[in-house]
Amino acid sequence: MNLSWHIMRKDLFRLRWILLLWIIVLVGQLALGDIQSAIVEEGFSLYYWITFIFGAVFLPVMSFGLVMGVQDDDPVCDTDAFWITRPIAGGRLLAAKAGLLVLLWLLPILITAPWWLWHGYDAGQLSRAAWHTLKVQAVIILLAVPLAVISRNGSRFVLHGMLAVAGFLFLELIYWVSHPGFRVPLAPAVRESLSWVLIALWVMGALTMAFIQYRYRRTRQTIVVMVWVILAGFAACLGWNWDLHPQKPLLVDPEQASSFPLEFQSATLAPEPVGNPGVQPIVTTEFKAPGLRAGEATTVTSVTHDFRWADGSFSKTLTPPVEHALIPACVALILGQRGEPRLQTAFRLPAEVHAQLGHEAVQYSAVVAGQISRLEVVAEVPVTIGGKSLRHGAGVRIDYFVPFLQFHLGLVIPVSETKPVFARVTPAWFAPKPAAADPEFYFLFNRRDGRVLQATVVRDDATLDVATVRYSRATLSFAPGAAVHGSFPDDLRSWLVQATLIKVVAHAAGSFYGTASAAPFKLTENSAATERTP
Amino acid sequence: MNIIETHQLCRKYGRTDALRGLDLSVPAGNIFALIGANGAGKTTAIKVLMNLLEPTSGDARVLGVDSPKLGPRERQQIGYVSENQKLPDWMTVRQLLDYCRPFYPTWDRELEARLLREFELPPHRKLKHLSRGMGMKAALLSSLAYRPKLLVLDEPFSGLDPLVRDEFIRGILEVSQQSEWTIFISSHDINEVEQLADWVGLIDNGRMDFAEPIETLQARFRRIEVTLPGNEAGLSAPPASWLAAEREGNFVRIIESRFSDASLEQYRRERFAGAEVAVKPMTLREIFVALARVNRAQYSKSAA
Repeated sequence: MNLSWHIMRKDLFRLRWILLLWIIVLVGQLALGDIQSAIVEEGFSLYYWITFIFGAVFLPVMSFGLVMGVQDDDPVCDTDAFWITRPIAGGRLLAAKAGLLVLLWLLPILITAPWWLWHGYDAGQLSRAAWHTLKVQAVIILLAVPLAVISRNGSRFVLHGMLAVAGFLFLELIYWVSHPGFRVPLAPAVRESLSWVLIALWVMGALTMAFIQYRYRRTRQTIVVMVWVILAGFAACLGWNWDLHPQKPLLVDPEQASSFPLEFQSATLAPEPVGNPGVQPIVTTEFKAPGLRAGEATTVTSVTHDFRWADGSFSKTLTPPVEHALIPACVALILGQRGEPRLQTAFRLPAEVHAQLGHEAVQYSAVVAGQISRLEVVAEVPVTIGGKSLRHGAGVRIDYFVPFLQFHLGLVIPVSETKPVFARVTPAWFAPKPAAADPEFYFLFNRRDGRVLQATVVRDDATLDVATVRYSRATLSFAPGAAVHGSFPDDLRSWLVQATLIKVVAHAAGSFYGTASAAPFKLTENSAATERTP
Repeated sequence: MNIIETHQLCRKYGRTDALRGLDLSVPAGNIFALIGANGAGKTTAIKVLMNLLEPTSGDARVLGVDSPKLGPRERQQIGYVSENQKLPDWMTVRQLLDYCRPFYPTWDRELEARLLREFELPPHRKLKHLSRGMGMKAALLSSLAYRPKLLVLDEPFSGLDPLVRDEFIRGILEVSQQSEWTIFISSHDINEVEQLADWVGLIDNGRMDFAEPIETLQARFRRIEVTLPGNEAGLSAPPASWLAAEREGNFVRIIESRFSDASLEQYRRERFAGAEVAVKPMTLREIFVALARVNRAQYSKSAA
């Protein structure tokens, strides 16, 4: 170990100026990011690009080159290397170089940690930011190591890097030519499992190549291993079609049916659209869900509506998933309304059922399956209009209003992030995303008039990771209308000043499966909206 | 005891045979010079011996260990200086010595200081700023200071000016007199080798032509100059030991590779009766040139 440390110290001393430069670039990127976070609208793009070049070009390229720098003084594929003729075992040299690479891997965290702390990261954010940084750095190192161990000097390393890029493009070209279906995207789960397969292949290949070179110095065999790894990866890209995720639990567990009571409340028939005689009318049914606890809401996955007539004939219809079922519950949560937990479904009434409902009573029952969500307001921040910097404050800055396209009847509000916080997944732009699968909803809420506007589009216009702090220009689109809760006030500007931006996360809290039935009822008229409450 | 031994050692580079069954024995405690023309296989042989290259076939043993198994323990007893070796030229001489020292339990700091003085090496100058000769001396110093049992020098004189060569040789000789060690040196600089070596081996086209003490070699090689009384040459059916026999008028020059008084007497009697025969000793360089010519002629013939 002492001799390995001796070799490490030698390399650290040799690389001291390059490491210093690398640290300066990293710190410079952080400083630029800080400036950028406080900049007014006009300067955003300039700083964005400068910081982008620092962070996305300089640092990765320097880290990539540093991997070769670590190997450069003791190349493992050069028979004229100094170390080979000295009493240095390959394993000892490998230990020394691995130690340096680990240091290179950890160094960004050590340098950035004070900056994270200065920006108020909590333990969770620190760990996520560190993990993110380690992943990025590991990818760079693992890409560079195989090239470094077959390069006898820096210029060869550059050449091999260029060949690798050319080879990658060539393989991609072959893939495109041989795979007309390339444009059809893979399912996310398949893509993810394929990514893991490729990563595992490359990591195993990189470790094997490093081992062969340091232990045996057989560059030809190492190159053969590399070629096999690339071919195996390419073959996987061509033919991979498996989702390796562990078996997902059933969305709905029928076992829970008895433990989740539902009580039929009402069925509301919307009028048959005038002039569209072929279009079926919509029925909205409402159930009480006494099994729900405070703060919980349901998302209906499916509802099977069962209509049974006196002669024993029956009709069934299936309601597709209701996407925005949680929004009324979110609004209720924001407004502090505590009503009895209810569940709504809507479906198009089949024509034969519609026709028969007017003549005789029907026995109605429903089998409802869905998800239970626990709603939580994870952030509520004041809104500031204009160029005022809120660099370290908690808030959003609405820079300007843009009347959106007419047919959307909406409003687009670009919002600058004001407090840099680690954000892992877009579009979590002002608070860490609690869990990848939990849906998020954004609302503008004015307490004075109690009006709530829900954002229908949340999009990142420009995002920039500065040492895992994500600076973003998010766009929220608020569209009033029947489909969305809330409507624009007349004086939007003054209304916005009094509003807060609220983010609600629906934490998954389980699934349910319940049945409910109604006493037989008969529809007496269908020309207008009619509510039948049995 | 032989400190280096090879048996039928072969090494190929692609389709090119660099070594073709090399049989070599280097006895311990001697300075052994491996000489040969450029491309004869000297450097390849040394690289295989030092486990820098793997042999294609055959055996090579150094310090009693198979060369592919040479490990740190053996390398602590081997010094290696080569013209091709890439020194860490960003280091100063002092840093090089500081870096090398912990790897050798037998490192002698007094010897290091003495050699540093004698070689007149500037300790704080970077290796890349040293002249070629100074660089070689720095490499030699870093290989001598731990008193290795075996010092391997691969073309150490190439590119050095005569003054530095002398200093280099003096340094080696001075230390070699103090320690019981073996020096294995490859070179095509015959004059320098002659000053240093006790043993000499000639490698040609990947094979050993011979390996023997220089004294024996020089004793058996003679240039015989014959001034004939008439035109009768006596050169028909020359013996195999004649490497060359040239005639200019009534003057004949022969290079004899197995000279003895008896053979001389036999030539006088049977081939050059009445002629004036002068026998002259040959330098190593002359022997080498004569052998090289013979070998080249043989290759030309076989190629044709």
